[in-house]
Amino acid sequence: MQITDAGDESITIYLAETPGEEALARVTQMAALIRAQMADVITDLVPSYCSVTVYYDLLRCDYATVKERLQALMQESSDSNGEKSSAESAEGRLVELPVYYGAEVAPDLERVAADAGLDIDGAIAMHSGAEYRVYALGFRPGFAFMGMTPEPLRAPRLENPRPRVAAGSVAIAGAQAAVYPDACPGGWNILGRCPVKLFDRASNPPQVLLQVGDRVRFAPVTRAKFLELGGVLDD
Amino acid sequence: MTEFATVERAGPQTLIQDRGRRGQQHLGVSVSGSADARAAGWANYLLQNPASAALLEICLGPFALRFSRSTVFAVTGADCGWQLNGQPLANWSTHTAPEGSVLEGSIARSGLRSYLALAGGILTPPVWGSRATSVGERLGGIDGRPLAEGDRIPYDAVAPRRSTQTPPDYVREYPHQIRLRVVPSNQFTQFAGGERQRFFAGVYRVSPQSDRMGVRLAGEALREVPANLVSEAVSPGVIQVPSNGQPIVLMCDCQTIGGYPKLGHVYRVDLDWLAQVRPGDRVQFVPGNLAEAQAELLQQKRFFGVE
Repeated sequence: MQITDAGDESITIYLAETPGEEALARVTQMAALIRAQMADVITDLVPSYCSVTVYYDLLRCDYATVKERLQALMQESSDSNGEKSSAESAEGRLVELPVYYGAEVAPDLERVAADAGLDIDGAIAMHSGAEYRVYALGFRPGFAFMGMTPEPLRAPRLENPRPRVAAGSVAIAGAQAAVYPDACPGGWNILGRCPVKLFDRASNPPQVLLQVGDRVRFAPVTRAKFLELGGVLDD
Repeated sequence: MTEFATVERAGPQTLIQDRGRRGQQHLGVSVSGSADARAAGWANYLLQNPASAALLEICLGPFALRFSRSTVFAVTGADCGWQLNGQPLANWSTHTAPEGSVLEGSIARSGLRSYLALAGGILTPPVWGSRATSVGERLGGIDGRPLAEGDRIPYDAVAPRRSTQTPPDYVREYPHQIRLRVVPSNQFTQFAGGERQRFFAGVYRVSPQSDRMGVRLAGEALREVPANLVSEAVSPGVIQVPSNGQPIVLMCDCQTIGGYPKLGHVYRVDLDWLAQVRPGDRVQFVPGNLAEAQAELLQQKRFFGVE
């Protein structure tokens, strides 16, 4: 574990060297501990693959004090680590996301399947047969970086990113998986479309569906079901 | 009582901003807020507005606003030659617009961003407690977009206030060459010693691809750039170096996590200078330290007030 300043009002704690289940367990545990015990000074708390970054307000607390309190929590967390952290994080909330894999919304599915030596149904079965974990949110509001995509399906990012990817696009890049919450430029391979809103800016405050630590499963649905669930084809 | 002012010329990018959107970065929501926090702070301070009041950030101009009733306002930041009904106005000052008057700014002579605050503050609906516009995320302001001709800007009309101006010693002109102080990051030593020297010796040009997400710089490229990292949180001020060796200083609309190696971060108070550079302007970096960066930031925050 290592702790370092990351900005004038931020501190990053590194909890692991490589991303994965163990790193995620430590990150979610540490984030929960900080949220519970340092709400009086933190303004933002950003968990990522191997680290947690705390943002604070210098008007409320100085650097040395924030750092000391974080170090105490790091101690507390490492003392209890062996016993419960991996068991706790193994839980995580399960979120099932319906996906329509039809060719009209899946421009890269055929190529990804062929590269994996599968037919389209085989690729769909493999993509929807795996369980994914949310390791980080970023890039855009509600964009969840998930893993791990089954080995045979792993396709690199497109050399030329698309100027516009439709909202709800279900995508993969290397071992990572994601659903685009919003229409935006993007370079990931698109395998289908999800009718569920991952970022709902119409509500106040806006709602974000996925959180770090969530478990995600993709469930194939028909075109009719996709539309019934509010999916949009001509985005 | 809520009043409305009408945008007659919107300019290339005029945004409703405030001190930014906090508490949602874990969802991938950027902080946003005024790029030049100091100039924005002065505009509200002169009007005795709360420090959190929303105001207009006008990038470059030209811009024009019509007042349907008598209103006190303040202008700071880049000097875009403000005129009220054709009469020149002093920058870094408050003024009173009579009913039906038009306030106009042309293209700024130096600097990039002008701030226009209305007494009482702008009252567009807050999103997660902030009115800041984030164009990329389509959040805040008016429908998350830059202002357009004909937009009606709601504000809280308050009683007239005594006219006032920023003391001359605190007024800024924005030069074409700036020096930014840097707190080295924990990844600083992953850059070879020669590359670190090259970075601090270099004079970089501001690229036209710069925006509120990041100021891209072009100069002698760093040759040996460490490999990308496992993505971790990033914030305004962070200096990223992608594999082309040309540094990018992240600004207020930056994304919340990133994986490029980092040399360090620019002092928050120095980002107020960086917010005013134009394409082609020159930037140099000098080594600094966290204690100094925090002391100056704290002083600025205390001056402009907690609320």
